[in-house]
Amino acid sequence: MTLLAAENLCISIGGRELVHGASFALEKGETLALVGESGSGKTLTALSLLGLLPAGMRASGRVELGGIPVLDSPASRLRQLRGAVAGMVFQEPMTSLNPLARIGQQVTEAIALHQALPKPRLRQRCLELLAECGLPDAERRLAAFPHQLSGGERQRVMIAIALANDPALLIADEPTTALDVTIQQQILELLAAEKARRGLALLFISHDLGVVRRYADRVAVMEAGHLVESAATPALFASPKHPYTRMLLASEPSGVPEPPTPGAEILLESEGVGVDFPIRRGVLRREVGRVRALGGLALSIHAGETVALVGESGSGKSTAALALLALQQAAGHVRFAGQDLATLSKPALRLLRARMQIVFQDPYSSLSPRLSVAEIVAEGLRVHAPRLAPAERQAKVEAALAEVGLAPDSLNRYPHEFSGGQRQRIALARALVLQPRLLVLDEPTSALDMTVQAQIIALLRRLQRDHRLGYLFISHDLRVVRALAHRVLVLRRGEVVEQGPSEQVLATPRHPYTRALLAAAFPETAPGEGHAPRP
Amino acid sequence: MTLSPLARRRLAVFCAHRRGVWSLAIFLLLFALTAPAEFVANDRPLVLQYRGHWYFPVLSDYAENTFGKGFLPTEADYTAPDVKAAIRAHGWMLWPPIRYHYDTLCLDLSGPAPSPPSLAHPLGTDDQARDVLARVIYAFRVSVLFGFTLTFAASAIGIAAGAVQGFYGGLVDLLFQRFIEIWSGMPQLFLLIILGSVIAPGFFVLLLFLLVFSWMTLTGVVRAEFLRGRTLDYVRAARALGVTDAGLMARHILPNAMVAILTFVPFILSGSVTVLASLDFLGFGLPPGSPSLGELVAQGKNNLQAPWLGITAFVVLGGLLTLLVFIGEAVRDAFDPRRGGG
Repeated sequence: MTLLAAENLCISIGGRELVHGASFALEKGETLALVGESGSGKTLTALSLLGLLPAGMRASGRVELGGIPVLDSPASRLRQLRGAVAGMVFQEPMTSLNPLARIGQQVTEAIALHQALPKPRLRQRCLELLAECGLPDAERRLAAFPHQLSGGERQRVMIAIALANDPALLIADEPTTALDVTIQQQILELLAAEKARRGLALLFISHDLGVVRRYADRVAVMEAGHLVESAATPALFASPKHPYTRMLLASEPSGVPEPPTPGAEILLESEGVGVDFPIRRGVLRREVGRVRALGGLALSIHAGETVALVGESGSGKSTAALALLALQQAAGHVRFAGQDLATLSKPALRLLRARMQIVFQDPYSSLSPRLSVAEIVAEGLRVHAPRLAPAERQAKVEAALAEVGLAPDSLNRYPHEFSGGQRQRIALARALVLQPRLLVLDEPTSALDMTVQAQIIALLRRLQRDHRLGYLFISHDLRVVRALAHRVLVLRRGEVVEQGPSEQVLATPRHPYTRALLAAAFPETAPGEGHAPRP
Repeated sequence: MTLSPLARRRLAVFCAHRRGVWSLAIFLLLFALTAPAEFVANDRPLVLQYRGHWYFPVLSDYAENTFGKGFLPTEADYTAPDVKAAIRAHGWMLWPPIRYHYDTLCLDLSGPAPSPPSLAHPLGTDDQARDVLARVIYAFRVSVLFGFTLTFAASAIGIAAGAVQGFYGGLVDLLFQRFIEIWSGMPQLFLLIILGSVIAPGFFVLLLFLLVFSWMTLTGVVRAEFLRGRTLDYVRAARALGVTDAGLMARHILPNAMVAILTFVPFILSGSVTVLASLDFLGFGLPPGSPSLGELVAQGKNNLQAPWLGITAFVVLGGLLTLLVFIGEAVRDAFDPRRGGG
């Protein structure tokens, strides 16, 4: 029997259609992956299956879950479905758990909604579930609050809640996107194991094709509200039919950087750069200890070369970027073009800043919402060439925008009118207008969609070739690193655990941490722990 | 000037707030009427012609013997019947709509002051036989001007102080916070009473005094906004471009902190109006005889047999504060990001 069937599902808000007639079906024990870029309607489709659409949105068509039509069911009927027939896991475990309720309470609440169990049984069931979902030391953790758990543990609790009433279907909406790469792996393994044990059907929403390829039986591709292609996983990856699917597959970061010119001058050199954060306690805020965010970082970047700094969140990558640009108090020495940044006066340092620029991860927060694009890009010129004639300034701004592939008509618009990829181009233009020698790129692609990511990578490569830029590239995604970097430094808890030319580090990793990162980034080539999709 | 899309959206939200728009319109109308108070309510003519010469008594003083040899060279009293007659004989006078200044003593009352509303005095007279309507017009102007000046001066100082605290953080912040804690512990009213016993505080002395103690209202909000703002990516990006500290504060953080500030300002404004009124009510405010809403409230309290004093004071003061609060609500909604403003 078909567990879930959606036919001609349309979702609209105020007369505007967001999802146009999607049809798909899901059998018991099958994994269907819903793939697409942000804004393609994946999440809305998933929410509509349980009647959870935000207020104001309307779904039409036919959705049957376990033989019951969902769209016209009364609220009481829907409540029976939610949790009992289908459970749901969301992207961000921190916000999908109630921060004020203990873990035990939240899991027992989920059980008690559908099963009338006596209290001791309830507690026992709750413990079983948490243990099954791999929460270590579940007995003691029942009384913990969500903030006392790590991201991975929180997601395990979310899965336990979703599985509390033995649903036949689990809807997982980007369950690993907010997690670190090595944790992602564990959560995916847990989902696969639960699926195998319970014969669970899994509706898996993701933008990560590597993960989808490894865990899904069938894939449905969505583009701008249309379900454009749906096929068994091997067939889809082997011979994609729809042009959008082909583009999506081709947008996997690929290629290698151009070899650097030998004998290029050193742009930036650091020695023993360390950052400590003091821990202060008590009324007098006396320092009782220090947290080492970064310990003794030594690196050098040549003109035309990309050095990648790789590690998970909290490993000190971003701190390193700020410290190397003297935007953060740090010990040690940083020399840029032969000058020690620590010994420079404030005005001299300000002058030097024109030659070293930074691009941040999130293009939504790195552009001031109050300034127009022209003002944002011209900001550096205002500082470093204050006497430039307005016409000349305008010409330079337009040249910088053209360089990153933006039309001159974007000048008088505001950042919120642009997409993520375009915003990242604006941020690049802001850095490039001063003609810097060194660019620090702090995860410049990780907030972007796959296809946009590929475009930005191509742009970065071209800019490097044209201007012999030195890049310090910070990322947790080794696929992007492989496509861009000449040399790699792997950071863990502020210490460099491995470094070397990128092909060497990526091909023959020596440190187990590097190996874990690699396994997460390239699951298809990971040796020894292959998990083939079930037929 | 073209408005940014953001500003246009905010304007639209503000305009959709009917109550706020009406309040703003009424307030602006009242202020437009009372701002040129000397031309609306005065015991001198606006303009007169005497023997072919033009005179502007509202703007300058003329000696009484200008209008005839029989008068003394003292300042002209245009309400005196013989002066009126002398001018009428050789020219004409144009009077303002209300022929009383706030300190004009009306000697033609039918009964003892305070006298009830009549045709000559639509709101009656107070216990010193002065026209209440004229006094209310002047008092409204003083209240609004005092409120605006105090609010703007206090906000400017408060924003600057909060910006420095939040931006630099650390020791600067710590010391400044302790200073504010001590400073806000000063007994304002007692200091004002002591001040009042030494000098008679006028408009500007009072303004300065209140300013010294009221600039801290915004400091906390601005400090918090700057503490948050200084670590935002676009501020870091600007710092990486080499923008100076002052530039970072003024151009990159402040515009984004303005939302929090602007939602507070209308309420500070109504607070400032109230402060002046209450000081006047207690008798520690503007010098005796000045037109003031607080003084009118006090008169209403002392003359319960003349309810028009109390009712007028209540309606004017209550109405003014209500208008300001309604305008403030509309401004706050316009800047509320959840309503599509931010």
